[in-house]
Amino acid sequence: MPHKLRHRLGENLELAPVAILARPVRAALMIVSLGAGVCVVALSSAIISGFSAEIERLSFGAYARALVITPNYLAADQARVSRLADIDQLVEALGPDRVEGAASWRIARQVPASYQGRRADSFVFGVQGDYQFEADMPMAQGRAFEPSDVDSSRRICLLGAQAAERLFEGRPASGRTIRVNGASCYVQGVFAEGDTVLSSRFSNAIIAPFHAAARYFMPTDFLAPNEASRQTIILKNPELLYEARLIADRTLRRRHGVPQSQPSPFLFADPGAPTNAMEQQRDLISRLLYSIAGVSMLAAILAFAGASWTLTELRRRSIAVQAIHGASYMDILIQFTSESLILGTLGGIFGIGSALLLAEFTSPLLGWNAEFDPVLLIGSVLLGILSGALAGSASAQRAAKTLPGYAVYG
Amino acid sequence: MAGAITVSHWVIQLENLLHYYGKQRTSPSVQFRARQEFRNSEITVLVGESGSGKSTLLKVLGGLDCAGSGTLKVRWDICNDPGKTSRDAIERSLPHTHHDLAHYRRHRVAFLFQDGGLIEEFSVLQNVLLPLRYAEIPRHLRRARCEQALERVGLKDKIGKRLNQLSGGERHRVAMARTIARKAAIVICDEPTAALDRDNAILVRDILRDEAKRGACVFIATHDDRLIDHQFADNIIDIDQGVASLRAHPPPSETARPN
Repeated sequence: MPHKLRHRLGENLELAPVAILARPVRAALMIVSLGAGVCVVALSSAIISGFSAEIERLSFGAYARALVITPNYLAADQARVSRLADIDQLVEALGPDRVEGAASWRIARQVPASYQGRRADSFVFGVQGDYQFEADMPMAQGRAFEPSDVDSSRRICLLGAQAAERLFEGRPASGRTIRVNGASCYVQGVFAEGDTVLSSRFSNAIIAPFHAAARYFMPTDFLAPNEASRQTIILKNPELLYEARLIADRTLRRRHGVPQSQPSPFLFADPGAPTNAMEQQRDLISRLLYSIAGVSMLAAILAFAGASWTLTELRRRSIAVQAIHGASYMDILIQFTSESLILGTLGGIFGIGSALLLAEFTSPLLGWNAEFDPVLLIGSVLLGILSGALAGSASAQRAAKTLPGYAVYG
Repeated sequence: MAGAITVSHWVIQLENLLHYYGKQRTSPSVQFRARQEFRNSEITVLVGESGSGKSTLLKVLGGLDCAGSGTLKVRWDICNDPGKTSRDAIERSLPHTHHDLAHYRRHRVAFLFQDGGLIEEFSVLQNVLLPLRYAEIPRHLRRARCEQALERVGLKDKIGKRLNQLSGGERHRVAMARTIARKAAIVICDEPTAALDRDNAILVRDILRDEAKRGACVFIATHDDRLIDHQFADNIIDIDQGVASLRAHPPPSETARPN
């Protein structure tokens, strides 16, 4: 940058805070006015961001693309329990273009487990197939099941974080042998704690190979050796869900001998449905909140611009005095733009600070979850700076056009 | 720099200068038909009735307004402009764009007005400092110059005060300090002693004389009889209904300037 330009920039940047501090109350009001707009925008964004994070927590990853098949107990005597062979038939009927993976599950509740005198009632999940689509938490200890593990009848298991904590109280669990419903079971690995809904499902769980799990089941949880509590087919595309459901229903009715005139013997669940509904809700709320925030920001910019314009009118004599002593159009423009940028920056900081405070106090009362990430923090300050520059540009030009003679000759 | 000049030479040349208000150039608001040079260390007083055109001529001389026609040349080699060193830059007709006029004011002219022309919201120091900022005076010299100037007008102890903490006379002295601190080649004063008490008027007169001694070319529009005197002023320009003419000098014995 040429020396002269740098010098003049420096001089005018120095004058800007002097001019701002000369009218502290008016400057404070302008900062508050702009800050209020930034606050509404930042708070709205934080609330939407919090809502998105909640949806993210509830989302099921690949499981959201799953067709989950369970017995239809509402159909009374028509209800059937699916068999291991059903899943192979279903995968074949749907074809490799539609299916990404499949798993069969058998589930027992409140199964007593123990290790060296410590007891814990846990869920037991027997699994065969691609279990990792659902239990996709990282491993905290040991190793996950290989395909050969889940197809075997070995007495091995993976523990959820909570189950491991209850049985081992923070000590290493991998490589130990626990007793589940009186039968021994070697702990091959422990899942890490996650914050998604799926990870909470497996938090207090003991996952074992499908054929080994029957050993741990209580008599009340009885299932035949080839029967599954639930079958899961992970689809490649969620849009295939409806079509896959029709094919699965037709295939299973044929296999279990239930005609189309009867209620279906199975229920077909879409795990992604709740999050889809929430996303629609979020989009609606986002549009509403951003509209309100946009109007607020516009009002704040107009208020700032109005105050800036009025202040410029009041300062025209001072500006003319500056011009008399050699300030050029560019000098005044730089000084006034700098003033607007400084006020805008302070407005942005004030706005984001107010939004943080408001979120802190209102979140527990109003039950929303506001999330402020670094992008939002920096973005709010930038919004303040941009708004200040935009709102102050007209008055800066007005000031720069002031003729020097105005100061003394009107 | 202007303060270092000791040799007598012209600073401003006027010839057939006409100024018009508005776009219709029917009759000039002020006219200076003769050819006249104004030299360094000279004091020129402009005298005339109210509305005769004194302030208009001052505005043109000070670069606050453009002349309509004629010649107004400024000697440029005595200003603080390191970029202007060639012979071509020694003489220059006063430019007509706002940008060039601002450049001229920034580097050549200091002003003193009847009402002071101070910025109310600034402190005493900021007011005195203002022209030095635009004149690109090095930062390390500015503070010392301000203090010297304020000391000259007896306000050094008020350097950090705001203007609303000063009396009317003190405010005028701040304006004087600003004029002194600038150390300009041309000093333009419009009614500098009007509405001042006797002591302050004498102070103004002394300061303007000091500015001339320093080498400045001083122009004063005034109604003050104490300044309309060839013992004080080197040139007196009478302006009557816009027509400016140089008053003849009295015999040399009557114009000895008192120390």
